[in-house]
Amino acid sequence: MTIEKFKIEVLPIKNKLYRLAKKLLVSKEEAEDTVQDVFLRLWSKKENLDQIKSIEGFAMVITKNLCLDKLKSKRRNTEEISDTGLNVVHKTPYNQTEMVDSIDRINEIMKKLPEQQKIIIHLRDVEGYEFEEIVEVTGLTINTIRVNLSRARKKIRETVLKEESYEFSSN
Amino acid sequence: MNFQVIEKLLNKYFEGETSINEENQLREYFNKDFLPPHLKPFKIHFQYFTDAKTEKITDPDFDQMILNEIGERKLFTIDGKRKYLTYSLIGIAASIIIIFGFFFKSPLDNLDDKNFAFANTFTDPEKAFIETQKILKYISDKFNSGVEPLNNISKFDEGVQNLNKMASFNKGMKGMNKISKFYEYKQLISNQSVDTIQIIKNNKL
Repeated sequence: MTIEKFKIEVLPIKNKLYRLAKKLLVSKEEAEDTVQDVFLRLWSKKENLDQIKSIEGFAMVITKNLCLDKLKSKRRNTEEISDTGLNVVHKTPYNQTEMVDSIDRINEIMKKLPEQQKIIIHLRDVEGYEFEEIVEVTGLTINTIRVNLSRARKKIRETVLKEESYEFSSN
Repeated sequence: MNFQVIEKLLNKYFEGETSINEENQLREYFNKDFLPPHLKPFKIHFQYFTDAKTEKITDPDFDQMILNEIGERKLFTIDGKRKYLTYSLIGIAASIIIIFGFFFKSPLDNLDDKNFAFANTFTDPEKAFIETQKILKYISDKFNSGVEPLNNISKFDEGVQNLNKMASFNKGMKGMNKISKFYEYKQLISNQSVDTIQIIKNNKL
């Protein structure tokens, strides 16, 4: 694969890779670094890239694995420090509607999901992947994916409904 | 679309059984501004995922950075090959030199005493003896001047001798042993007095 071809066919998936990396790593900088790393790894396999059925799927697998590795080593290094609530939420003007709170709350719930569920719900509900494509990225069976997807979705429903009932009771 | 259909779809959705197509229908439906009150809470649920998809790498130089890195990598591999070649050449050259070293004797080995750098330069043994003595004296002078400061070590000895006075302190300590005798007798006496008190008590009873 030539640089030209790489630029046209592979680079445009950067945002998809970035979103998955950011979902898992939270930090914007770390996510960007990871995506960069993924592209360099892809390029190092440039001789075989043309034979791969879905470069996007392949790139997603690399992204997922790199992120999980990073999370593992982070966990080893700073056992519980990450949970001290130091995450600063940057609010854009767009976010400053009445929905901000609820979106933030969903975000918090998403952060607490197990990694596997995070990946699955992200691939399905954000990226709109078919189950077969999710199988490719995660290596899980369709049934496991359905179960985990359902759990993750219900978890979010729980928060959404809880919030609603809270609003009703306070009004 | 009537909301009963949506409710059914929604249940299917939470069981993880909807198709992409059905999920798109749901997303479309919940994007509307007016919803029945019981369905309204789910608007935010779908809104969340729609928003999440708009997130992008904001760095405008990102692509260029990757392309630069890729370009550099290409050069790097060529460089790497060259380095490898030079290192192996150096290695081969070094081993050839070592092997040759075993087969060829050093030219120094062939020199006899006359040609050697430190060979005898004196013909008269008397003169040679005097010359050697001079050199040895010179060396011993220098050596002695270095030893002089070591004399101060004897002062340390003096200090240690003072410690002998500790012996008399020991003697005093031995005298103290007699105090323990005093203690023994004291206990003996007090025990006896307890005994006598006991006896007196018994007598009273």
